Amino acid sequence: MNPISLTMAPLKIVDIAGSALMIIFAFLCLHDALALKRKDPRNVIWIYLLWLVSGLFIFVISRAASHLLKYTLISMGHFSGWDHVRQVTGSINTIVFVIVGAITLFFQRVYHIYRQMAEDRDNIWRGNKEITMRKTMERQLRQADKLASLGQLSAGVAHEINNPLGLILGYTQLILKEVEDKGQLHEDLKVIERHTMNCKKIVEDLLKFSRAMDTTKTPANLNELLSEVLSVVEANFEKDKVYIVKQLAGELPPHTADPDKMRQVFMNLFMNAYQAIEGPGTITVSTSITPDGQHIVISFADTGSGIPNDIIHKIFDPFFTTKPIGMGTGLGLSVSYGIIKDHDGDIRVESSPGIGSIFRAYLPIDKVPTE
Amino acid sequence: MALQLHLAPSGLYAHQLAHVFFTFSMGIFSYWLQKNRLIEQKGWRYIQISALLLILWNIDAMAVHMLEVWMSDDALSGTVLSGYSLTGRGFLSYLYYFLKMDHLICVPAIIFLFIGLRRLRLKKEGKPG
Repeated sequence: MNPISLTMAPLKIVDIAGSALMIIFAFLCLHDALALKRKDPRNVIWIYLLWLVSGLFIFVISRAASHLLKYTLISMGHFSGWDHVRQVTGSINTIVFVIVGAITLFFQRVYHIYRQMAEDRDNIWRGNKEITMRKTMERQLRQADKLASLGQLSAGVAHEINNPLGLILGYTQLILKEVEDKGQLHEDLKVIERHTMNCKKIVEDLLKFSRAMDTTKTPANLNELLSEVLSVVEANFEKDKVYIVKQLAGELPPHTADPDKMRQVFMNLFMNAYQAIEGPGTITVSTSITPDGQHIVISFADTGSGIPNDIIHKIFDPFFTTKPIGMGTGLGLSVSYGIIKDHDGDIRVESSPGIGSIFRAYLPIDKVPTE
Repeated sequence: MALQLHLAPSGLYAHQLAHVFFTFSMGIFSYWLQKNRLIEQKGWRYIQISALLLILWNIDAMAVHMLEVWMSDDALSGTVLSGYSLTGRGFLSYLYYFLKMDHLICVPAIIFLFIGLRRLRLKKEGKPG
């Protein structure tokens, strides 16, 4: 067979270009492996990949840099220099192959540990969620018990006090007609009348609260009920520069409710929002349906002072109020809570102190069409 | 006298055994990526391709080392600067010439490794990859 002669130029070009590319991509790989580990330092998979890539990086730099050094040394005539370098880099490559290979053999164990850790984390999260849900249910049950006991007490006390108060108020007003408009006696009688009327208001609220059990449900259009209440409050609120923004859903599914009680709830929530806003502000009222299609949501969002975290869990408690004495009985939200619960619904609040609060009433959608 | 001498071919044998071990470990790594269904994510799929290319590269490198031992010194003549040429006969010469261009395999291997790592990183950062 005749001898053949092949130019080594293509090999040289591929070697030099390939070595340069290997060095560039080795740095890029190490950069991304480090970025992955920095993003999630406790993830064992990223730690494993960093070890693997680091080993490959050492191999690439050792081999590629030595190849480029080879051409430099040989072009300068340092053949013996290259001979020494290749022995060292060849040995380094041998060791790195073994290290990278050994790291790789641990992959399955590392991955197994990672999966186990992820499962344990999910189990802990699920457990925490169940505990939180149980605590919420317990709190709601305690609230319901509290309201039921107070309802019974309120009915009895209110009936006993209501009649004597009516008599005091009636006789006071009779005496006021006999007395001159100016003078100390007239002023004193006006004070008695004012405070007696305050007491009557408290008793009326207590009676409403205790009567929350008696509900007469009929097919109701919640948007219409809201609009009726809006027509009463909107003009008064605007005098104090509190404006109402309406975002009512076009068509709400059928819902059965006691219209009077629902108007009472809406009025309570509007007044609550209005009183929370000190100065100009906005109340946004909206109706919508939950994503699962099971509930209608009526939302009241105000730009008021918000509710501090240390009292937010008390706001539905009977007689709890942050208003000065004489400005409120502390029963509005309790009554509203009772009415919504009586309609198999729920009422929840979110608040950011300094920004405002959102009260959301959830009412179940009727499963059968109303007649 | 207890110490053993390590003369010329033992370095080559150690190097070749290291290549074998590296080939085996890349094969196992590729198998585990498949078995744990990590390759369903694009990033890991590219890393698997890189591992497979590294297996090919290891086989190439082992073959070149073996051919260098088998071929006589007369096959390689000349200097680098004057146009290094390979003189030989037949199939082994062509094979050696072709296999020496191992960067045609290991450069794509490292590129796939980079693309795989970049995909995993972008996914972790919630960016489109």
